[in-house]
Amino acid sequence: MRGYYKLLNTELRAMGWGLWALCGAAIIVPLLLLQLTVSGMSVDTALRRYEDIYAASGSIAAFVLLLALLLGLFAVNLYRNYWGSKSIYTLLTLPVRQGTVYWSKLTAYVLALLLFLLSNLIGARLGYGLVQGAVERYASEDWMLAGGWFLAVARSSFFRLLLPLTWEGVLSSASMALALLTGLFYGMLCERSRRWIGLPFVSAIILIREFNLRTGEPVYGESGASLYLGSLILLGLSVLFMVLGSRLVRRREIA
Amino acid sequence: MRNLTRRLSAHIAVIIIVAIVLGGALLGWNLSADRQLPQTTLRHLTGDAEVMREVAISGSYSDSYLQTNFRWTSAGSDSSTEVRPLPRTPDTRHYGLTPFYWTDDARYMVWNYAQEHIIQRKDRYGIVDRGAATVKPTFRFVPADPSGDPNARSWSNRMEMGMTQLGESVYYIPPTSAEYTGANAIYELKFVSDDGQPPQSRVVTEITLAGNEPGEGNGPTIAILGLEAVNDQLVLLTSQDGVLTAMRYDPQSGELTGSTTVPEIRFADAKPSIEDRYQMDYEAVTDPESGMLHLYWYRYGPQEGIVETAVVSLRAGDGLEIAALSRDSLEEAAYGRLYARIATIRWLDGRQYVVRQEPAESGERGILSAGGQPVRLLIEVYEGGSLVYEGALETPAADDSVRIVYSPSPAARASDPVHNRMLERIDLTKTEVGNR
Repeated sequence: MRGYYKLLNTELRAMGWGLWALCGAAIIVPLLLLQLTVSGMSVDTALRRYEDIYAASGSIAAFVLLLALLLGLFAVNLYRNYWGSKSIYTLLTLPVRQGTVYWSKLTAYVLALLLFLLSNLIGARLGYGLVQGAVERYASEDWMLAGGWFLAVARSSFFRLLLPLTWEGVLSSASMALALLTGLFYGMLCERSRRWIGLPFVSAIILIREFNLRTGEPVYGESGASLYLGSLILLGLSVLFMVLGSRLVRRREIA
Repeated sequence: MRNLTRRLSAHIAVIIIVAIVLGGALLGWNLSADRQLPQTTLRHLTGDAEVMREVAISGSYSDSYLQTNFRWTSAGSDSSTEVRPLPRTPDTRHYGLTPFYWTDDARYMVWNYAQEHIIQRKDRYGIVDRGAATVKPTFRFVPADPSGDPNARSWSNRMEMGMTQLGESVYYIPPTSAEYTGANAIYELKFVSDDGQPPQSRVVTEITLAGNEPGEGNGPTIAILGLEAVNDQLVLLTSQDGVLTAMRYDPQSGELTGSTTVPEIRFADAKPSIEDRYQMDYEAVTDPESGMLHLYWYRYGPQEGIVETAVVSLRAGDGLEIAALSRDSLEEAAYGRLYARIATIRWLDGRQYVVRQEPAESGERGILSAGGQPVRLLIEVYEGGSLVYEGALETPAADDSVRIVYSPSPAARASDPVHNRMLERIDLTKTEVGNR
């Protein structure tokens, strides 16, 4: 356990500045974009919902870009072990249980992703305060932004992905995030061990299907149960990726 | 300092986990606080607010994403919000003035052909077909104008006003005007056959239209205004010699079990004709708690721009009797559109409580409709035939447009029922003692 904890801290330190920079950008960039948007506001455009203003400002596009950079940071974190001093050999010969290298890296990626998502949400919440302050210049007594942040989270498909308000949504978002991380990690390990990397593509297809379901237009009739099936499949695939990936590391096939 | 940095970096995982937990808790707390907004309140306008002291107002705001149920009492208001796991197509039941009759699980549409009426039944979204009932009326149209087209049709009201549901059955009577002769009937509709043959709807009772025959001595003229249901009985609303007459029937035997006349409510076919006649188009609310049927009528007053309204409450106990009749007058501009104004009517402690919507002045405190046209929800209390209290239901409008009950105003027709919340299911009840 101590070896795992030390390795975990090592992995996080290795991502250090890159992770802090991305989390900082996740807070600041939406605020800058929203400030640009509200500075051009007029009485005709002021009375829009926050989630519409957020999307129109380009903050969602910024999130996608930053997420891609974060996933790139994970890739660099792994491939760096093969550059220069080739520390991968040291890692695989450490006096710890063989699976520890895999689990410490995966845990570091999970924590980094959670921190990144939290940063985005903090930026969105601060942005709501910024926008509300600007809109109030145009609002009248009978048109107030009461409960607007909660309504924005409930109605925006983007915010519903990051901050689901139902248990079905939490399970779905968690399974999507886990499938993304474990699939990416497994794909990189397969590349390093020269194995077939087709399985992560299957996960990607199901991820896209789940994403479309979560962000689609309202559907006819009850549909919450349909989320469970996709979530279970993604969780199952995540478990499979973890089993196969840790096995590749234990057998040192990535050396 | 470097020592400290080194020590902290040795435990960076813990720091990050703590940051995630604290940040998540803060966000969750903030969201939870926001979830309680907005609070619905009642603003007293005129009259004695004491009449609302033991009354609870409940309702809900809903759209594709969530539903907020609220309850107001004189002690305060509270609400609870349910978020949908996936956005769901809203119930379009009450959107706009539609040619449908709605029940909890179906919608009905009448195709009135010359020889037969076909009542088509589908699910509430109009997608799944659930059978069709056919009735073959025997009445005959005799236009009042001799040069009129005998093949034309003349209905006193929209076809769906002749329909009502009682228990599992749906009943129907074509809303014939006073230009029909022969006989009309109340039918119990049958949509699906058990034996492979076309389903046969049952005639509950026949209504003679002999009084509409030209000439004297044939009895009162009769126009069928609509069919309602209360206390397991059917209530047929008619205009007989131009006077509102309600008749109660047993749905099984077709026996007439009560009737009453409301002489204050007179229509265009009254004899002798009158200037100030009520429109035949009415709104009805069944009040199962008190076993009453409430009817809302309007007419254009003698002064231009004035609309007069009447609330008639019929008690359907052993027979049928008038419990209360209250009249009021409004400026037509304040009255707004002349249909689908009533959210509910309740009988509490011997008073009539009417919840209706009307346009509000721009800039006034109230509830906004889509497109920026403000409307507000009024609660009017009548006692002994007079208005004793008026209040306005309000919410600090959230950053959306809240459309009022049942159907939008014409200006709000462009509103998006998916993304704009609708205020609906408004009800008034007595608060329990000690639980206000």
